[in-house]
Amino acid sequence: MAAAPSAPSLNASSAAVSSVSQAHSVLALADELGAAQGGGVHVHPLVLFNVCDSFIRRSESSTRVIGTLLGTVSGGGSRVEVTNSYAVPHEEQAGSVSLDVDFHRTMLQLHQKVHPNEGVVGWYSTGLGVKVGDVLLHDFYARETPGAGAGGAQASAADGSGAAPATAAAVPQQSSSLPIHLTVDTGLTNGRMDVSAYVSSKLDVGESAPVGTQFTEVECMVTMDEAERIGPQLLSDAQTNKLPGEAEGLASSVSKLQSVVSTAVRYVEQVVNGETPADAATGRRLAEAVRSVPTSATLDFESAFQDNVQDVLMIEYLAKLTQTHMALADRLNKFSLPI
Amino acid sequence: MASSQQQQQQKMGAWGKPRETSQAQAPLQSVQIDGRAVLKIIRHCAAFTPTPVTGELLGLDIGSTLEITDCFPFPTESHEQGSKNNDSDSVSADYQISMMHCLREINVDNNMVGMYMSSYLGSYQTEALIETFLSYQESLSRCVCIIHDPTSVAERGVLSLKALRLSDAFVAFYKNNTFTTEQIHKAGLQLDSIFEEIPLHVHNSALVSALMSTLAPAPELMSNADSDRLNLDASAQLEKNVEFLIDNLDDLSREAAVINQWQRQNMRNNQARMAFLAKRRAENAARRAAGEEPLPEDDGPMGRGSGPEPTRLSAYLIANEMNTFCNGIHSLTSGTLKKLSLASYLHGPSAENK
Repeated sequence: MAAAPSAPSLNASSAAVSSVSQAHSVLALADELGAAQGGGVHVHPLVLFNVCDSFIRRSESSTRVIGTLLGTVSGGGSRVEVTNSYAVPHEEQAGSVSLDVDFHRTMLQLHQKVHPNEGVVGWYSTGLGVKVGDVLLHDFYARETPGAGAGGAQASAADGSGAAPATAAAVPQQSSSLPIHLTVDTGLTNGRMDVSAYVSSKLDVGESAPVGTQFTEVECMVTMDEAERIGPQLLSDAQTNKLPGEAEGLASSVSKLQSVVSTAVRYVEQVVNGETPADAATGRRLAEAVRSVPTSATLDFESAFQDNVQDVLMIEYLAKLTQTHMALADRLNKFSLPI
Repeated sequence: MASSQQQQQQKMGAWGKPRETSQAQAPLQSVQIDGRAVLKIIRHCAAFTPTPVTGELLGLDIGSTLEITDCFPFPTESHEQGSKNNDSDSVSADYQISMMHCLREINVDNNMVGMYMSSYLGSYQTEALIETFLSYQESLSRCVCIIHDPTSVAERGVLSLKALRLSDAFVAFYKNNTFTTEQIHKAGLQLDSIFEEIPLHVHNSALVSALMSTLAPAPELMSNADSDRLNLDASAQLEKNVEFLIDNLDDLSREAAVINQWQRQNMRNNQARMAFLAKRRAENAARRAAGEEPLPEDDGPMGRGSGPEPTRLSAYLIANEMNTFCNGIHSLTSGTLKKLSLASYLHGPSAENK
């Protein structure tokens, strides 16, 4: 990060970067406002996979990749779901950034043909933290983002509405948290791939025009539910030769259940023995979980259970019978006749 | 629903430029797909369930492995109607071309290698799919179709992803023959020889592995997928499967009725012709005895028979689909039985205590 000594360094502890040519300053502040945003940014794993892939496929000359984030906004603009993304070609030279705007618009149109309810919610770049040129990019995306709110793009709201008529309906809510700037540390600077999200706000000093843009880190969560359904193993191993079948999934789920139950049992025992202080909330939850198991008379359960087993076996038998019939018809080449 | 799927599939085939891949090729042995493409396919299919969706697969064809590194979705019909209405074929071709063009700019492999589609409980074996396949194979020597069943992931926590292609024997047969009982018999075409399943491998880049190791949740925690897998009640899905099976059975018997009628008609015609010929012969013998010129012994008015035999292809496909449903039922019932026996053990001791 090319940090230059800068005049509007408001907070001594924060890293202040100023770019003279742009008459803007970027302040990457440790967050305090993050909590006030509420809801936060929820990133789907596909977005991060896209970022990784486009980083691998970046052109030889570029050191990082930037792109557009697509998604939806809910909860009055407090909750931002980032569901999709695409890379946008760009050129970067000392202090200036040029983005292929046509590409961005074309790609946006194409995406919205398939997912019309997804709009631009921000942009991403690889690397750690906010960099010098990012203010310009952020301003551009503030214009591209429909419903970008008070903090980000007051000044550019007028031309913003004209620039993206197609997307105007997509994200109707006014939101102060748009656009989002997502950084993914593909360089693994801290030994891990950090994903963070920022929003910006204009810095005002008294009466004068804004002197800079302040980037504030907001809460950023990766919603793993989707990936978990597919199997995290499948998405993290370099090579999987066999897709996980039903039996394997069941086995792993049962063993997970077992470990969760034994953890709960161990906890209860520890509390009973006085080794761990009792926690009322946890106790209530446990009691609820135990209560949710239906208690039924043995006979009722027995008959219901047997009925279910019989049903399943019956269907299984019928299916086998059908298959046998068809196999016979096939081998005898009698498909012309009713089976 | 079915007709829109058909249209979509035909549309998919509308665009495809021939490529020069003339070198002799090793047979396709495996398909390697990127985790990212899997995610994209699943997301696209899940977003539109139960509407069937399709998309295009992009990647590289290397030796005996087909690598799928990316994909993009095709817009569904209803969204397109909002824009240009006149020619949906050209609209979708435009979409395809500009998407490929854009992807090339960000260095994505922009070679078509096939398509993907969502299917509900395995109902994908249609004539439309075969036509699409053939139109793809005109421009691509090797292409696959990835079939994904979104309900299986959503309801049972089981990933259902298959790589299919048409078998060479079937393609050859399809191009040169008509689907009559006789021809099928001669070629020895069996039910399971239409589609070929190719082993599917999933591949992830090192960067993605790093990402997942950063993000991966604690492995011992229960996820939603786990609780779906442990759900004891599979009756809704079983019902659907059986319902589809019954529908297919109806279709099959309809097909059988058609062929039966044709056969009966054919037999009646043949008998009529035989009777006519016998009569003509007797007449001719009488004429010769009388020294007259004999009448020609051709088929006369009955010569045309009862038209060509109706195609048997749809019956084959229906039977194939029934097989798929039966397999689906097997996997459902075996899973359910396992879970039920587990549950009976869980309930056993507690019931005795009372």
